[in-house]
Amino acid sequence: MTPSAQLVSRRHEGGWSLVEMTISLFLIISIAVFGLQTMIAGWNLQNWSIMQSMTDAYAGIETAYAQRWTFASIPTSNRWPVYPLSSSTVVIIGKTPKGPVNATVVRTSHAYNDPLTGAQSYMLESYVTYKDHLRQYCKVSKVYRDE
Amino acid sequence: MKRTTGQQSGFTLIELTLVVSVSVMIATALVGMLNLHLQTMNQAAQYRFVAKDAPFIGLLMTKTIGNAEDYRIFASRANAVAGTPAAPAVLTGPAVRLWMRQPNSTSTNIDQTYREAILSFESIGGSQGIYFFLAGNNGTFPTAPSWELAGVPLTAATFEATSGVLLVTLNGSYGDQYTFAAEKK
Repeated sequence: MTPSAQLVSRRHEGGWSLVEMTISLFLIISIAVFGLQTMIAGWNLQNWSIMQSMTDAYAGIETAYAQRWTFASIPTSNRWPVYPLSSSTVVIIGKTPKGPVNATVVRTSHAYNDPLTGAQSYMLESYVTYKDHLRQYCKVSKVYRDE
Repeated sequence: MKRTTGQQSGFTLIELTLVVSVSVMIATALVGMLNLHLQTMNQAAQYRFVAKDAPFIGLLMTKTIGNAEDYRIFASRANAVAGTPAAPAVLTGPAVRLWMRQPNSTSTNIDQTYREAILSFESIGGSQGIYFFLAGNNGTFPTAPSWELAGVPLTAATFEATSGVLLVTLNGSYGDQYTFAAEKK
């Protein structure tokens, strides 16, 4: 290449280098943003999974109490008021490194009296509800108790 | 001085300034994102216990304890081995003694009718965890654990009897906690 041809080539490269650098940096930042979005999606999924397992565990606790509650105390303890009444309690269902995790437990029951035998029975219902930034979730525990 | 076309080699000051400015802006943004990335990764690692480990330990313990017909909670494994009345049972403690009915047993001797086991959170050989001690057919508990049910990153496990329900609370390293009822479902 002759010296004059080299000068012409440099003159052209001088203008293009800024464009090339901007494009490459734009590509790098696009990849970084994509990676960040993927990571945040993973983070949200992990939080969702934590809430699912904690609410499942609490619904299991509600089931265990409903199975073990002294039958004669069910109508008097007022833990499961007879429908349409209900009780609502905010409970701590677990703790994360950030702090306690709260959920709301709504309890109610349906009482049945067998007309033939006079036997009393109850359907004890507990609804564990919680909200994240998008939607509300509910886990149900239903236990049938009879004499 | 008159500039000739042949002397215009390299970049102009404006070009260089623009390139440096854009580079600095993008580098700042990248460093910020890298920082955020590292923070999120660190947080995800801290949440690993409640997200992955604790539910699995809970499932395993529910299966194990769910097989028992009866249980008693004790302040330590030594107390659980001694049993009542030598050592009093408590409502909250790190060890639980389980009674599991033996299939096809016709004996009236309680040691032969039930197989006994102890689940205990303790440190053995410098390793904290929940250990399972299965008694032999003569009712004697081994000194070494039969199995290790859970280890690191578990930092504490507490058994609690409330209204007949056996609650188990597992603690992680970052103040995280997971509670479940170890009952037959």
